[in-house]
Amino acid sequence: MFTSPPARALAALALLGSLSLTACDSTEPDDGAGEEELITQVTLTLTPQGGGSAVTIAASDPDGDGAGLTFSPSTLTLTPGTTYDGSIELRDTINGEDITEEVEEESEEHLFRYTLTPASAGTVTITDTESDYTSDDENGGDFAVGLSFQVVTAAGASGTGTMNAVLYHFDEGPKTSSAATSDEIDVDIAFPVTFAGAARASR
Amino acid sequence: MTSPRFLLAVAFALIGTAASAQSLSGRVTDAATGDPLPGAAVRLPALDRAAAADTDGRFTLSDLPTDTATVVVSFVGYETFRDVVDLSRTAPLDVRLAPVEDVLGEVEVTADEAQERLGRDTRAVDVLDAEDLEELRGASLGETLAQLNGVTSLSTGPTIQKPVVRGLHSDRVLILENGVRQEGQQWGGEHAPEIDPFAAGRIEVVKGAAGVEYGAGAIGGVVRIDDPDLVFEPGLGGDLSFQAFSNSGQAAGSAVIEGASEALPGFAWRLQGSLRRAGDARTPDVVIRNSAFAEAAGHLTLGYRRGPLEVDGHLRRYATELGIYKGSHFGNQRNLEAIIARGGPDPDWDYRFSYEIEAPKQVVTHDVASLHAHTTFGDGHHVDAQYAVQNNRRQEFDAHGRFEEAPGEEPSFDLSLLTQSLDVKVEPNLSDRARLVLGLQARTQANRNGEAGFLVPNFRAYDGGLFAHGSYAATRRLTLDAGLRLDARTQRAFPRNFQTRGFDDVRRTFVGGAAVLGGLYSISDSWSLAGNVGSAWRPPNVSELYSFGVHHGTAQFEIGDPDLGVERSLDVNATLRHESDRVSAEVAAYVNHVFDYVYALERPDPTVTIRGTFPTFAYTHTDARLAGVDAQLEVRPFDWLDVGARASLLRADNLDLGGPLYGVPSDRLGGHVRVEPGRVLGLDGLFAEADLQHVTRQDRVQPGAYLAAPYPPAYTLVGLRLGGTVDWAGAPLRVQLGVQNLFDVRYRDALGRFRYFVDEPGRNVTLRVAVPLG
Repeated sequence: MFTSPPARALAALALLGSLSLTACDSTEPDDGAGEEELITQVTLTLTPQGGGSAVTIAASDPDGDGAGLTFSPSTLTLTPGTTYDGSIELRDTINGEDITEEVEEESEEHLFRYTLTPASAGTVTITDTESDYTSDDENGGDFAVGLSFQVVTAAGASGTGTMNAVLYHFDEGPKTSSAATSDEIDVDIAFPVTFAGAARASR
Repeated sequence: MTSPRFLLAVAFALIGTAASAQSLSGRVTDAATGDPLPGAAVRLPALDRAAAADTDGRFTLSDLPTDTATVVVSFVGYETFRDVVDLSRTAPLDVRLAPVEDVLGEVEVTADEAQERLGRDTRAVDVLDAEDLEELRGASLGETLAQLNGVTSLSTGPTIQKPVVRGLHSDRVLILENGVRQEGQQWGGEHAPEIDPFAAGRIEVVKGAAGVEYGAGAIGGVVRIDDPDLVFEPGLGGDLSFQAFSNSGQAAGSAVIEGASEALPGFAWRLQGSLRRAGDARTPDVVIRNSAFAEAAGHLTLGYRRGPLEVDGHLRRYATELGIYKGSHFGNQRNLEAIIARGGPDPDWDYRFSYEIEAPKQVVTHDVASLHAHTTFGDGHHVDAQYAVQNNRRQEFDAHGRFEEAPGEEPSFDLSLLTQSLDVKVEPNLSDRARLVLGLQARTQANRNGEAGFLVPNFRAYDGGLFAHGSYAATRRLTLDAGLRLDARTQRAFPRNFQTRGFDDVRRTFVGGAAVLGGLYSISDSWSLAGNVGSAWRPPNVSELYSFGVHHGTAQFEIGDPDLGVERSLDVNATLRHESDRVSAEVAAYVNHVFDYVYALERPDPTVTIRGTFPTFAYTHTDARLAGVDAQLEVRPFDWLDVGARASLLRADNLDLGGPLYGVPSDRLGGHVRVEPGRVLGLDGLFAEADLQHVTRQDRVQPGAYLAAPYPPAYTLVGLRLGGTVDWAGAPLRVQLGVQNLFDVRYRDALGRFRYFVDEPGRNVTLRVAVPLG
């Protein structure tokens, strides 16, 4: 079939091409290829005002997206009628990085929002502002951040509920108030909450 | 072996004749009525050149190397004209064909008629010729093809358009550029074909399954893009064109230079380059933030001819950087619901028109090198071989490197796909009434992820296919067409294992076949009926097999199924055509049954992650049926007036679940009025055209489908074009002024992937100028 010289050259080229591909390096990927920075663990720590031991809950998705979110312990136990000082911590356990620090550095681009469900179970108030972390003022205001907050549980709270933590990321449009939202949510977790124990006697 | 002296003689002979390149033009009419005979075949058998008469019966064959030649003109139902013609004559050749006397019984089929009929397709085929393409220059391939009835566009904002043929797209529509099957990451709905339609001389869309000739993937149809033939006569020529679009501030230009030298007889070359640069597109109300793009393409073609041997080589590069609307990038389902409720861009944005391209964006380059040879041997047997190597590099940049220092600097993924292919076809000369093509295809592919991210696995694949396709002019009126094909693909993929955080090593082999059986029947001189039962198949793509993660821009969590099998289709279609002096009409009906159609089905439970809740779609399969009608009618009551209407209807069903199939175009109706006063006034090329297209609302919604509802309302678009040729310092300057979306209509389309976020672009005034060089 390949009788004329150009046709023969063509056949040789094709053969060479297929050989070169077979001989070249495998497409097998290197270990660790494609790792991306993710938040794989979010921890809430709530310390009751006026003494008592702190309670914590951690939400983990150790392989990044997909395998399912687990909580440890399985629920956050809060005492009714109590005021807690709260903090939130974000970690990338795959790459061993503390994402909380990055949120602090970019505090003007981030805002947490917390809600207790049912709403009658209590209130959450953010207690920090951008000036706690940075002296820059790029968005024209000293707005809330939400790495620190205060939870006040209602005296009549009982049973179970959730505490929802949402982290809004402001990139395309600036954070324009302490109640702003954006189209980019980085964290959105509903932590299970159980209200148990007697209400502390107020002092 | 040929002697040098002989080569020298051939060279001199070529130079001698080439110095006086000839052309032949004329008109083919019915000797009895004087009506034109569109589609009549005009052939110069000794030179292996041919042309078909246009709707007015006119034809032109240029760059003919000899002074005299035997001209054969044939048309079904007419006596064949055969004569030796002096090509140096300047007067047009007026060919009057006498109708064949209708005698009882079978009339003997003449060889020329049979050959002409054997070349016709028994499927519905639509063509954009050089003239149509010139009127559309500056548009993307997707926009260009959407001019054809039954072809729509799957868009991802103003910068990304993919052709949808009879409701199918991506891995189900093959695109061939100069015979080379385009291989990129075409599985992705937001991955536009890496082809610059500036260079094309002709685009043909085969609608329906065409698995026998084209292999795996030709389930919905095939798009063939071909350059004009090279000019082998010594000399230089070319063409310059420029386009400006008001809506996005787009400027585009293309230059072609081609030539052949007396010093190198038998060689010809062409160099083509094009640029497109656009800023943000605008809806009637707002600027679509970050919808600018920049594109450059170049194409070098070299050709060599000696005796029966024809060789051509191509080097082609296409590069683009395109922005993706900022508002399409968001977090989770909570964000998506807020955006849909808001219905448009974030009101806090303070954004002005710009040419800047920011993240999210895509940067894609596609390089192709191919070598093609064709020769005849013995008693008219043909051999055709083509080798091609192509590399596709796709980098996509997310809006935010999640907590990276510099968003948009590092790609969030970076894929390289290297494909080599070899195609060999043999066409033995069996008889004047039959044509047989035997073919072999072999292909290798290697896909690699860069450092940055991991979207689809690395893989290596080997494909092979064998086919036989024949056609036979059974009687004077009936031509039959049949073919068979067998393909196999073996693939070794390295999908991510999310438990071990390592990579699996999965080998799979897919085997598929295709068949076709069809016929073309000439009912009368002006009516014909074509029918075809075809099948095609495709292996599942790596994204359908191994996806795992959130798809940005839709807030869907997508999960592949590594055990998916092959998809097979059975396509039954019939086309009734009428072609007469004043009327052209075509009605095509089809039912494409796809067995094990692969699609992503929403799971009842969403995926819960640290970033929130995502509706979850898992790849699965169903039997699907796509049935539709494409009809068009064109009436030319006067030489200067052309009025047309078209309709394209499609019903697609998910047969396993019951109810409609997700993601198919809604019905379209349209029409045009074209006035060419030049035909009366004797002015060349002057025309004015008004176009109208009405797109109905897609009201066939898959029950419970999260992303299916709400589909946008119906809309109607009107366009105008006005063009002609003016004398510009002795050169014929072709000018065209147009308006798309004349009434600045606000609309969104069911196949627009950004239909939740932003309207489609508003009014667009276009200016196109072109001038021949040399």
